[in-house]
Amino acid sequence: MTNTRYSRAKIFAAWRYAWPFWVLVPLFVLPVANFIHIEYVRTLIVAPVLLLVPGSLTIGVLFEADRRPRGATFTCCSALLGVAWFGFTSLILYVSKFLITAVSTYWCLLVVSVLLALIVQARMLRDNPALNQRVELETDDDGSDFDSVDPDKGTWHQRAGYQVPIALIAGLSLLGGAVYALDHVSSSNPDNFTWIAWTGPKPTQVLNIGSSGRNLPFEIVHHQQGETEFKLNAEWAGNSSRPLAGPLSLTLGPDQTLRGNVFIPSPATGCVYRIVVALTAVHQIDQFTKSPESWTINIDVRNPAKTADDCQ
Amino acid sequence: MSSSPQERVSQNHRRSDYQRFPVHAVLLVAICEVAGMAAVVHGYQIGKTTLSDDSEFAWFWIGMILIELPLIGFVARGSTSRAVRLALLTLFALVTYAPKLLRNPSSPVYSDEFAHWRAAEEIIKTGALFHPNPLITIISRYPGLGSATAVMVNATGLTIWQAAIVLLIIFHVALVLGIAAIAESIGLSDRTSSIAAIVYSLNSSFLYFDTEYAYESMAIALLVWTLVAYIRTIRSQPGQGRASWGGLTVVLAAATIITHHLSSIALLLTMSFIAIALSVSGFAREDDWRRTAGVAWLLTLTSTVMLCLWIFLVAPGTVAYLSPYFGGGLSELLKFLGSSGGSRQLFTASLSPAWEQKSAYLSTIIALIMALGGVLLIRGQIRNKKLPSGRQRALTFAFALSGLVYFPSTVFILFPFSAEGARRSWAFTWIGLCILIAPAAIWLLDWVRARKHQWQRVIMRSGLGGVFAVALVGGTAAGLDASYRFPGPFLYGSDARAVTPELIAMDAWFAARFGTGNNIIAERDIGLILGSFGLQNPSEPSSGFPVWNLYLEKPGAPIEPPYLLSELSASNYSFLIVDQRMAYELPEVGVTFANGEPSSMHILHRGKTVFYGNLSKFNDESWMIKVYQSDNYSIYRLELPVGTKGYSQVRLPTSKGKLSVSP
Repeated sequence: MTNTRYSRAKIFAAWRYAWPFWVLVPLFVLPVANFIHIEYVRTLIVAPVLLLVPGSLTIGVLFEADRRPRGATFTCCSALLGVAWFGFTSLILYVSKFLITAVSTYWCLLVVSVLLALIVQARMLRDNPALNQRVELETDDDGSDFDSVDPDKGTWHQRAGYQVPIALIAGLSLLGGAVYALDHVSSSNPDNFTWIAWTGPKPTQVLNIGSSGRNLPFEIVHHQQGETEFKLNAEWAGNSSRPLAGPLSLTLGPDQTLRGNVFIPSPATGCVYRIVVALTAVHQIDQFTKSPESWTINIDVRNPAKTADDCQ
Repeated sequence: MSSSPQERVSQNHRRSDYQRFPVHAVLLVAICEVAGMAAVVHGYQIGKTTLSDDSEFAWFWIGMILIELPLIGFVARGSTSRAVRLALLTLFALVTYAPKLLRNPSSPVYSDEFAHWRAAEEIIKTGALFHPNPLITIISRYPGLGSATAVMVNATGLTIWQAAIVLLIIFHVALVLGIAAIAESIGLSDRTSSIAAIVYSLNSSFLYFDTEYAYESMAIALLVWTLVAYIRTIRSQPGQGRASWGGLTVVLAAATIITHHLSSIALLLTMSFIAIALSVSGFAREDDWRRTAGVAWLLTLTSTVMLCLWIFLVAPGTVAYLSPYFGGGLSELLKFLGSSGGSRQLFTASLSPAWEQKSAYLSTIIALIMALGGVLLIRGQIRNKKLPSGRQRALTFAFALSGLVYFPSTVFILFPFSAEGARRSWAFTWIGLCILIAPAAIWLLDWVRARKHQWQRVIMRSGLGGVFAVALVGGTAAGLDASYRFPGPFLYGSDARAVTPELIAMDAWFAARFGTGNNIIAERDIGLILGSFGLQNPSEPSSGFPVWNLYLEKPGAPIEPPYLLSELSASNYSFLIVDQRMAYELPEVGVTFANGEPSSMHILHRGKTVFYGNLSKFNDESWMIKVYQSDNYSIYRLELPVGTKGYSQVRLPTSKGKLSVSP
């Protein structure tokens, strides 16, 4: 027996002796991954540990060593049990009135995994006391019969060869490449739109205008490819309308934002008046109304110092 | 140099793998995969700029066929080794996730995805489960997917959508391998089992619906592996792993139950099918068959009790949520049989090309013919005593029968209310159907291989490839409409094509200005965005809470019913949002607000809808203040209850103000 083979056999024996605790190691050191600031790299490290450690330990609890599923069955069951544990730990935290956070979830998964590892180790010692003594060197021949139709020896139960990791890498590369190509090569319709909105304080009722009048701020955002000519005006509105201010001529370029103000003089009565600020595109026609495209916002104002006797 | 027996065996395996899957085969598969993926991307690129174009469908399907057929060819080849077959099936699972991944790689677009996105966001933000979900209320009571996403987000630092994609890829691969594992567990060869997984991929939910970010995508993978564990329990002997597999069945069933209601019910039905088959002596009689049936029933009942407890203690709304689909479907069928009910026309207003629609009909016929072939093979096996009475026969019968349920369920697709339920059932019935069809497919392939002349084999294999292509196109087309499957320009009321940068900008402005958690009244599409990304609470319109009347009433007419405004006020609704296109366009999905809305809202008269002329009233209502307007969207702040403001009726002021702007 060569030295290499002897060392490999020793490592394998050490693994067989206490695999439940060995698989806990990556879970214990998982917080170190927080120092990796590239999310995708961190995911490559963290996701397999979180998915496979609690899952594989659950399989260890449920199955005796010689009946444990292997290969694709083991991997799929472990991953799905890992996801199941995400749900179960969230429920445990919720029922225990703990907040579900990164830290609490990690500790809960760690506690669950340690408990599972203890059970698996105890079970291994009970089922095979020889493990408690000096471990004999073993080969990795699992005795699988390729021609058997016994599901315990079928394809989904075989240890995966190099082909499956290659398929995984190839498949994920194809997916990543396709997303990259779609994102970087394709062109889509430009997104053209304009909006106008009140900014500043948020009145919940009619806005009071003092004797010196008041400025009301608003904002115009222009997401268009080219320049557009607009007219901006404000008016007193009601059954009829009367000009309040403007019109101002504006030319807005691509992705330009304008901050505007409308000064409202103090109304002479205590009645409520509606103020409308309107932005009209000079050359743009609304596809539905077939009239110049326009955007409006409005607000109700009054002079609190005046009486409202003549109103309504 | 000498080598150990193990190393020699390993070398032999490697050599035999090389012979079975030589370099030129690897190159062929690689070229086809890359070319196919490029064609799919090109199809989507065309789709992005056109409403619907035949070329986008053609490129997409050419790509998918290029991606799938070579893989299927090598999986189906008798000489392919098991390890290579498993690798090819894994690759198949990954590349069949491409259509959905490329459809929306960076954010949700399906209505269910928005609701689940919100569920995950609520868990991450608040650290608690069971937050009310205004988009789909029942989601909050099934936190499996939301909590799994939250854990991934918290642990990896990915965004919700990125974490969702990682999980969905895992679920999709697990689903494909799980179907093959079920088939192998009931005694099919690994070749037939792999073909079963590929046949399953022809069901209407596989490419798009069960790959979306929704609870069924997770639950169906759990369901399939629960069935694997369940079958393995049945196949194991007492004391030889039966209890272990039984335990795994219970754990996975519990995970399914906390994730999705419909999948849990489908799981219990399938388990019941199997347990019944194992209890019929004609199918199952062998040594100790009663004990096996007892174990099957014990697991089925345990799972049933777990589901009942979950519904009773945590999700009591499940019954009310699901019962209309079951009850409505049956009553529609009874009405139809009594000739008093109408059926719906399939593919109405669909963007799919005619050949896709015809393929959908053909795919059902192909499935029926193949299923009949499967039934004949089972009959032959029983006659030849290759399928003796026992567990394997019982399992085969149970899956075959559950698969055959697919064919009567297709009738329900003709009725408006039950169509959705019927379509949703296919992801489950096809588990049985693919196990029935796969042996027939293998028989056909072997029959073709046995032809004497090569030209016969080439022609017949091409024909089988063509049949597969039709089944693939038709199976997918029978599921979601093209507006869901393909990217494209804005389409009013289309769910998946209604999200625009303009809408996103409006949502962002609204959340920045007024915060989250506002009760809002809006159409369905607007509600999806504001209810998810904006964390607002859209109304849930119904005939008892007909918020659509706000939009329907003529200017000056009172809002009906009289209690509506006071109810809005009492429920603290503070904003109303309007999309001006509702006056000119009908919604693609046939719903403006919610199911049950007046049918008058679905009629277009001279290019105008019933809302035409009614929306400008919002600018003049004294209890509505317009705070935002973009090209299509207007936001009104509601000042409820409606009071007397004291507007001037005499004259408007003559005093002048001033407008000023600065960049």
